[in-house]
Amino acid sequence: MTLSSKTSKTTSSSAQNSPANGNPAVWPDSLKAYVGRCFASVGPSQRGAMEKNLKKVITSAIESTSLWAIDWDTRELPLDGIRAVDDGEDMMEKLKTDAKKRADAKSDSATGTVAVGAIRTSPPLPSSYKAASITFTKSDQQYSTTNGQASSSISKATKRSAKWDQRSVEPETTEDSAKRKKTSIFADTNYLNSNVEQVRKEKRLLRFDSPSGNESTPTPVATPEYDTEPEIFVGRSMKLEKKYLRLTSAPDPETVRPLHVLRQTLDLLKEKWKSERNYAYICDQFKSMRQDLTVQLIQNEFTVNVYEIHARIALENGDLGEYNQCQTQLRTLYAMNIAGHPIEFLAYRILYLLHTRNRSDMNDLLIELTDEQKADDSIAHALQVREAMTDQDYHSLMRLYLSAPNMGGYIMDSFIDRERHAALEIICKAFRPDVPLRFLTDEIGFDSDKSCYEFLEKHALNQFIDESSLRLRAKDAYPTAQNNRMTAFKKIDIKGQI
Amino acid sequence: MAAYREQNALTQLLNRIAERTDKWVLPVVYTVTQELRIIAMEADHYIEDRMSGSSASNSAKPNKLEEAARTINRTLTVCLNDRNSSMQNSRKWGVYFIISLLFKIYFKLGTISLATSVVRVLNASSAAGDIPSVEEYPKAHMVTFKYYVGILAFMDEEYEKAEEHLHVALNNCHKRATRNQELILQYLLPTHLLLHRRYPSKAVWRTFPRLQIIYEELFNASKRGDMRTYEAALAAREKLFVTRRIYLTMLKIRTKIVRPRLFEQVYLASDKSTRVPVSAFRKGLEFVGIDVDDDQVECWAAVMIYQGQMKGYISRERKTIVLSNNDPFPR
Repeated sequence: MTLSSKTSKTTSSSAQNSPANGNPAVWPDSLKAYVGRCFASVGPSQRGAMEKNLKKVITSAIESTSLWAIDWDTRELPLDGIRAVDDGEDMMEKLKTDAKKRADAKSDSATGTVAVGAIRTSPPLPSSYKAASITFTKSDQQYSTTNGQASSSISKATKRSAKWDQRSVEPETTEDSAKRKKTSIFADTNYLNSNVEQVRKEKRLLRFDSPSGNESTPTPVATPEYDTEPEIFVGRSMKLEKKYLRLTSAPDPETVRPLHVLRQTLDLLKEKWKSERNYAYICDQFKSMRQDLTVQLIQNEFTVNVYEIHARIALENGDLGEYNQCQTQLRTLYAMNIAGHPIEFLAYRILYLLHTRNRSDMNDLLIELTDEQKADDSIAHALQVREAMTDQDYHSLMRLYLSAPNMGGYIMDSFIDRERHAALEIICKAFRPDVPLRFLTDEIGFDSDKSCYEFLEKHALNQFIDESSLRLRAKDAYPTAQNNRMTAFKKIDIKGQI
Repeated sequence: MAAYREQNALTQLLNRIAERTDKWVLPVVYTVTQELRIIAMEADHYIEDRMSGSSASNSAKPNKLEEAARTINRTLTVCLNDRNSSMQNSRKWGVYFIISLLFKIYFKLGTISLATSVVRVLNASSAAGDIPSVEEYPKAHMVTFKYYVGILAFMDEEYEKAEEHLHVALNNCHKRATRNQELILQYLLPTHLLLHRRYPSKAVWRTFPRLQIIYEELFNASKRGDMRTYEAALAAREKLFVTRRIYLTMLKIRTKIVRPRLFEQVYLASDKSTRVPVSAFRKGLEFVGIDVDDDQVECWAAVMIYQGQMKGYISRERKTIVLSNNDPFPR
C-alpha cells in the first residue's frame, strides 16, 4: 500500500538541490507555500484530484530541474479537471462539520449526534484514503520516478487526511468521553432522537449505496475521474445482464447500466422469469439492477416498478428477507410521492407485521391508517386477518387465508403453520370424543384430506387417527397438539426469516 | 419561535450548570423544563400553521418538541448521574418529575418506543439501588409516573401489571384531582373489566360524565351479552379508541366477555339444559344480527372452552354443545 510508505529522508546534502530529490525537506519555501495554497483552494473531496495534479507539476518540475527555478509564488494553481461545483462528498463534509457544530452547541446530544456523525463519517474516510492511494498508484505508474518522490506527497496527503479524521472525531474525545460510559444508553436514545431531518438527509446521501446495505461505499459522485456531469453518476455499460457483486469501492461506470439499458433489462428479466423460473438467477439479476439504480441515484416510477416486481417474485418464492428489503425501500420511495402500488404493499406490510408479531409497529401503523386506505379490499382483508388472529378465530382465519388477494397468501404462508398448531390445540381441547379428518381439513385450511393428513403426520398427530373411521381422537391428541403449538410459537424472528 | 430557541438554550445551559449543583437546583429545573415543553408545543403549532400550503421540504419542520425532548433527556441524565454522596442533597430526587415530562412528550409525539427505553434505563438504575424507590418520591411525581407506566403495560397487553400500576396511581391521587382520576380510570376501567369482569358502579358514571359517554353503553351491552349494540358502539368510537390505543383491548373484551355472555343467554334461555344444539347458538347470534354458519359457531365455542370462559365440550357428531353441570360460565 502506497499509504504506508514513509518519507524517505536524504540526510545528506540537504542544502543541495539534487534534481531527483522529491524530498519536501529540500523543496523551496515558495513551493511549500504553493502546495499549501493548492490544497486550500479545493474542497476536501477534490483533494485526491489536486494531489494528482500537484504530483504531475512537481515531478515535471523536478525532471526539468527547474524545481528551484520556477517562481512558485506566482505559479498558477493546477486546477485541471477539478470541479468548483459542490458535489455529494462536500455535502457529506458539510454535514460532518454541522454535526460537529451541533455537538459543540448542544452538550446533551453531543454523544448522540456525534455518534451519528461519527458513524456516518468513518466509512467515507477510509475510502478517501483509498481515493488518494488510487490516484497515486496511477500517477506512480504514469510518472515512474524514483521511489522517494511519490512518498513525500503521499505522506502529506496522508497527514492531511489524518487531520480530517481527527477533526471530526475530536468532539467525542472531549468533555463527553468521561460521561460516555454512563450515558451510553442515552446515546442510544439520543441517536434515536437525533433530528429526523438530519438522519434523513444523510440517509439520502447514503442511499446510493448498494441496497445490500454496504455503508463503506464512498460517494461515487465525488471523484473527478468521471469527467461527465458533476452530480450525476451515469453508467456506460450496455450489457443487459449482470451478476450481482457487493460494492466495496467506487463503482466503475463501465459496469453500471444507464437507465435506458435497465429498462430493457427489466423486460428481458420478465420474459426469463416467465419461461425459466430460475429464482436464484432472477434474484441475483434484480439485485444488480437495484444496485445500478441506487448508484445512479435514480428514484422514479421505474425504480418503484423494479422493487415492486422483485418483491412480488420474492414473495412467490417465500423469500421474506429479500421481500422485506424491497418493502423498506418502497416505503421510502412512496413517501417521496412516486407512483406505484402503495396500497397493495401496505396490505403486505400489515400481514408481514403479523408474521413477525411486531405489536408496537402494528399499533403505530393502525393509528395512521386513513379511512380511504381501510376501505381498500386488500387492506380490509389484512385487517380482518389481524382481528381473526387476535381472537384466535381459526375458522375465519383459514377462510381469509384461502381468499387472500394479490400475493398476500405468500406472506400468510409463513405464519399459517404456526396458526394451524394453535387451531389444533384448541380443537383438541374443545371437541369430544373425536372429529373427522374432513373437518380438520376444512378448519385448518387445507385443500385436500391428503395434504391435511400429511401435515398431521409430520407433527406426530396421525397416531391418534382411527384408520377405519378417519377420525382424530381429540383427548389423546391434545398433549401433542399443545406441545406443537408451544414449539411453533417459540420462534419469533425479526427479519422474517427463520 | 424565538421564545422557543431562548428557552431551549436556557435549559441546556441549566443542564450544564446543574451538573455541579445539589438538590436545590431542582425547582428551577422543573420550571424551566416544564416551560420548555409548553413553548416547544407552541412553536410546533406555529410552524404547522405556516406550513400548510408551501412545500414542506424546504421550510422548517415542526420538530421543536422532538428537540425539546432531547434537551430534557439530557436533564434526566444530569439528575440520574449525580455523584453526590449524600442522598439528601442529591439531584436524583428530580428523576421522576423529569421522566414524567418526557413521557408526556413521547406520548404526544407517539414515539412509544422512546418511552419504553427510558423506562428501561430507569429500571436499571432502580435495580442497582442508585435511586430511591418510587414510593419515597413526592406523591405527585409517583402518580404521574405510575400512570404512564400503567399505560405502557396496557399497550403491551400486560393487563395485570397495568392494573397494578394504575391502581397505585389512582389510590395516591389527591381526592379532588378529578381530571387525573378520570385519566387513570380511562385505562383502568377496561382493564378491570377484562381481567375480572367487574363493572364500575353508577357512582363512577355520575362522577365522571366523560367516561360515561365513552364507556357506559359498551359496558352495559357487555353485561347483557348484546353483541349488536357492543359492535355498533365500538364502531362509533373507533377513532377515539385507536388513537388512545384502547381499541385492541375493547376487541378482547368482545371476545372474552361479550360473546360468552351471549352464549350464556342462549343457555339460560334453553332452561339451563346441559345439551344445547349448536343451531340454538347460531339462532341466538342471528337474533342479534350476526349471521354465520354452524362451523363458525363451533369455532367460537371451541375458543371459549379453550380460554376457560365456558366449561364443557363440543360433540361434532351430534352438533351439540355439552355444558358442565356445575357453573358452565364461570365468572
